Amino acid sequence: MKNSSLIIFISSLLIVILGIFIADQIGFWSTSSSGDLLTKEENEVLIGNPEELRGSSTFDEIERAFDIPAETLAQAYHFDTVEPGLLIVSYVSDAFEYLGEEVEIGTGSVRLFIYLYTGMNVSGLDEYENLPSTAVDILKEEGRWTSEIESLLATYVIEIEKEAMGDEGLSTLMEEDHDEAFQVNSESGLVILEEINGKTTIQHIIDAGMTLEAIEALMGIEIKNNNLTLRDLCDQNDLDFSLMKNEILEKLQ
Amino acid sequence: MIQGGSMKKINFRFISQLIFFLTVALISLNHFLADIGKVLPYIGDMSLHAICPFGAVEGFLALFQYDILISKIHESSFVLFILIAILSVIFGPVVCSYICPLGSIQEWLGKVGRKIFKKKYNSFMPKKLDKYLRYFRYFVLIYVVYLSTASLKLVFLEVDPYFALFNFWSDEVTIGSLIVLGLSLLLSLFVERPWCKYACPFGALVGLSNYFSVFKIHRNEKTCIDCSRCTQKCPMNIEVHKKRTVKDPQCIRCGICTSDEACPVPATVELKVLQYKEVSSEK
Repeated sequence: MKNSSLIIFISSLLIVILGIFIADQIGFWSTSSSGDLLTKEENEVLIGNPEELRGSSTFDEIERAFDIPAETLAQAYHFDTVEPGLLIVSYVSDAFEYLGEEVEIGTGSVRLFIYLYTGMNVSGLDEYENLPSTAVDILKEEGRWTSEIESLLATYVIEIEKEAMGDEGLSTLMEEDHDEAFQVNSESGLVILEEINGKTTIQHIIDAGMTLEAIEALMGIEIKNNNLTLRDLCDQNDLDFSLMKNEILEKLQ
Repeated sequence: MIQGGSMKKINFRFISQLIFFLTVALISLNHFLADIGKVLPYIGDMSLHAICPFGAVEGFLALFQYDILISKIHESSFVLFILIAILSVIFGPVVCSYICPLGSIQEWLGKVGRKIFKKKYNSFMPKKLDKYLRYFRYFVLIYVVYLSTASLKLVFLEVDPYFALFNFWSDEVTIGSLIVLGLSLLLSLFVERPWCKYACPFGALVGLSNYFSVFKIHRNEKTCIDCSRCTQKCPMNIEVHKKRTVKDPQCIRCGICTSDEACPVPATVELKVLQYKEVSSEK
């Protein structure tokens, strides 16, 4: 074959460009992974999807995906910092931990706030987490806290009286977050698992003291790889992640 | 282009390498710019993981066994892998010589090495050691797939020079991958494409297409004058002048050995589809 380099060059370009085009048309060309807040709609427009919110999502990412200023979000969750964009959603549950187990202000709360702030319909949500009064104040300022919403969510609002968490408290949270993997109970030698999130694997739960058999019995499934996350296993087997994580945390205690 | 009355050949392979190199570099830069809220128009800003076909190789077993995509692996990686598989079935591993930016930069540095060491270039490695080292990339391939499937993590990222090349400024790049990249680039001054030859797991896989691709490099024994220029010029040190059809899994189908480039006799070393008679006589 003469001019083979020209033929290979044109073929390579054609196969790559056409292949990507066809894959895109049939919906196989996805360059975002699970956890990316922006998803593509049928009309090719990128829109924010609150369901993709994770504990690891940053306030900057939320700002880009939902047009909620990171500063506003920090104010809603009572953080007082010069760099609100660097905050991650999991700090919210850490910051409100002092309110006790009965109060749930974490990823689900931020998700609910995003729904309300952006005007998305919340009636379809399976469950609601609590909202701090500071978040409600923001929603009122934005005109999003309607009487209808108030009657639906009034019992979920938690009055916040403590001072806003400043950079000093945040740096402690960041350090704790960094050291999380190394916290070991000196007496039992087991890893201390204070919370279960989307990244918690079966191995983390085993390291915290629950046997594989006990986890399998609780979930009613066979676990083939201990590095699978609890969330993935729940999604694949139609199990409620929140329910399962609470039961596991209860057993670990 | 006319030079001294004769038409200078356009190097389409170099143009292809340049296009893919710049495309990947710009996408990577744009991904970084997107993080700070500035994006170049008309260029994608996806993560480098999304446009790496090796991600599909790392993640396919986990996908089959556990029905999950390993974190950081995207569906687009599988699409790109399928497209490269199609290209490889037709032409062989041309992805290494026409598309892969890491291969391209090693080759470009190799030109500097060739200028420095002249004929000595690409012949420093003792033959015996070279022979055994070339199996190492298969070990890397099997080990990486096994570890990725067992840990459900992108373990190769720890030493991946391709990721380090286009993300050397990011926090995600590990010291290991920067060292491997630095070594690969440095060694390129002595050996042609050292990463491709000895360690690339993706090259190990696509290189197998040399056995079954539709087009193959074929040497016509009747017209060959045994000058062995094809062998001397081969960047992968394949003894082309001793073969009728090149099926060596190290061949990257760069075409340097062919009558289009090194071979002085027209239609003697060619990339072609073997006719039935030629296949029969080979057997």
